[in-house]
Amino acid sequence: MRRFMLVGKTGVGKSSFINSTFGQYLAKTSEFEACTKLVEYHAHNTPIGDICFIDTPGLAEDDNGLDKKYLSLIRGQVDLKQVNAIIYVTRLDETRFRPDEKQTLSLLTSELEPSIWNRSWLVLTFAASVPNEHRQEVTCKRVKDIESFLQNITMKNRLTQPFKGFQLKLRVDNLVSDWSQNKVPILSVLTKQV
Amino acid sequence: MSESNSINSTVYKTKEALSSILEKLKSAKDKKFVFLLIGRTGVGKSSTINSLMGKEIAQVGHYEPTTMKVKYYESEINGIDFTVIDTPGLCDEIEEAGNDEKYLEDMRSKVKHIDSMWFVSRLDDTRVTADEKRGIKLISNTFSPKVWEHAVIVFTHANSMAEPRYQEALEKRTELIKREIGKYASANIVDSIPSVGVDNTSKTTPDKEEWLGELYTKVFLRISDHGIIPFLMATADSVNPPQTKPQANKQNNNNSHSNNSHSNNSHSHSTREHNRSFHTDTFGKTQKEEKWQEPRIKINEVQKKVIRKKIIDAGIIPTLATTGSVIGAGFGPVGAAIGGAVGAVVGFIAWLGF
Repeated sequence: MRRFMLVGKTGVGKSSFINSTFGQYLAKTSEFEACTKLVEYHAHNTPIGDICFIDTPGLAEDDNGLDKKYLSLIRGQVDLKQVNAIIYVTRLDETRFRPDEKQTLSLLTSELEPSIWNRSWLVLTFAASVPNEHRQEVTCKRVKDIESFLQNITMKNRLTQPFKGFQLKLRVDNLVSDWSQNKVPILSVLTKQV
Repeated sequence: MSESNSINSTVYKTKEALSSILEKLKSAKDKKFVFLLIGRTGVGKSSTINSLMGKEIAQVGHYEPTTMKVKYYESEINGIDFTVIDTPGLCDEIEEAGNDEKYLEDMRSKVKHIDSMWFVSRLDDTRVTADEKRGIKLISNTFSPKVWEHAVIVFTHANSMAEPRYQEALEKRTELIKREIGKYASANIVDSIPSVGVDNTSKTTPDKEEWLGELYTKVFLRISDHGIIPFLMATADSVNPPQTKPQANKQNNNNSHSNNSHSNNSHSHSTREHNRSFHTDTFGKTQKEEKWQEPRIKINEVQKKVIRKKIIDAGIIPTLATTGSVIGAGFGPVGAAIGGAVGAVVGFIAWLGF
C-alpha cells in the first residue's frame, strides 16, 4: 500500500484530485467553500497496486490560528514516517506567487518537519485554465518560485540532505479532460516506485 | 387646458429643468471623484478600471504583491479629475502587526471620501481566501462600514466559467463575499451590494452579454452623491457619444425604445442600427449612418432604467421634469450646442429620456 498525504491551500483541488484519480466521489468536495475539516483516509485497491490518500484540511482559509490548528491535527493523526510521499497541491493558473502561498509553505515546513520536502511531489491543478501556448512557461515559473522558496526556507534548518526539488511534478485538471497531447494515466504514476 | 397652453407649460418646464440641471453641473465642475480598488494582486483590478474609463489609468503590473502598499493614480477625462486608489498588498499581506494600520491611516488622511469602491475577485476562485477576508476587515475598520454603500463586487475571469455554471458561480461567490462583509456592515448595506462578472480578454461574459455596460450601470448605481455628477461628466460621452445629427439620433432612440423596451439584452445598440438601416430607403441616409458614432459603453434598456432612476433619486433633474415629456426633444440639440462635458451630460439625460 502506497500512502500519499495531500497538503496545500484550501480550494486548490486536493479532495477533487482523489476523486479524479479513482473516478469516484469519495472525498467530499465543495466548489466554493472549505469543506475538508478533518484528516481523512481514502484507500483504494487498483489492479496495478493499492493506494491510500490522506486528505488534509486546506490552509490559508482564515487566520493563522486556524492553520496551526489544522497542522497540529495532521501531526497528531498522521505518522509521517508511514507516508511514501507528501503531495503539495497548488493551482497552476495563479498569476502571482502570493504571500499566502509562501505562508502556507512556511507553516508546513515549521509545523510538520522540514525534511518532508525531500520526499514530496508537486501537483499543479487547473492545468486546463492556462492556454496551451503558455502552459510550459507558466509551469516553469510556478515550479521555480515554489522550489526556490522551499530551498531558501529549509536552508536554515541545515538538513543533512538539502532540498533539491520535488521528486515528481505533475499537471492535472480535475474537471477538464483532453487538455494535453501527452496523456499519462495517473494510477500508473502513483503506483510506480520512485 | 387648451393645447397651446399645455405646450407652453411644457416649454416652460423644459427651460426650467434645463437651467436647474445646468446649474448643478456647473457647480460640480471642480469636483473630483475617487475610486478605491480592493482585491488580491493579479486578479485584474487595473485592467478593469482601464476598461471602464477607456484609458490607461493604472498600470497593469506584474510586480510581486508585497512591494507596494497603496498606489494613487491621478487622472483626468473631459476636464474632470479623478483618483484611482489601488491597494496591492491589502489582500495579499501576511499579518504584520502595526504595519497595516500605518499605511491605512495614511490612506484615510489623504482620501476624504470614497465615491466608488470595488471589491475585485476572480470568478473562478474556489474560496473566499484568508487574504480577502483580511482585506474586507481592514477596509471596514479603516473607513466606516458605510463605505460598502458605494461598493460593487467585480468578478474577473468570467469566461473561465462555462455557461451553464456561470450564473450559479456568480450567485454563490457573491453570497459568500457578502457574508464576509456582513461581519462588519449592516444587513441593509450588504443586501444592496451588486456584483458583476467581467472579462478583460473578451467583450462578453458566458451569458453572451457585453459586460462593460453592466459594469458601468452597477458602478453608477452605487456611486456616492458627491461623485455622481463628476462621474457623469467624465463618462457621458462614452455612453452617448455626441452625434453630428442629434435630431436623427433622437428619432432612432424612439424606435429603439418602442422595440426593445421589454428586451433584456445588451444588443439594443446593434438593434438600433439595424432598425435605422431597415427604415432607410435613400442613399442620403446611408451617409448619415456612417456618421453615427458607436458608443464605447453600450447600455441596454434595462440598464438605462437603472441609470434613469439613480439620476432622479440623486436629484440631478428636478422632480417636476420627471413627469410628462418635459425632457426630450429639446434637450438633445441643447446638449450638442453647449458642448463639452456639461453638454455631454445634457445630451445623455435627453438620450435616457424622462
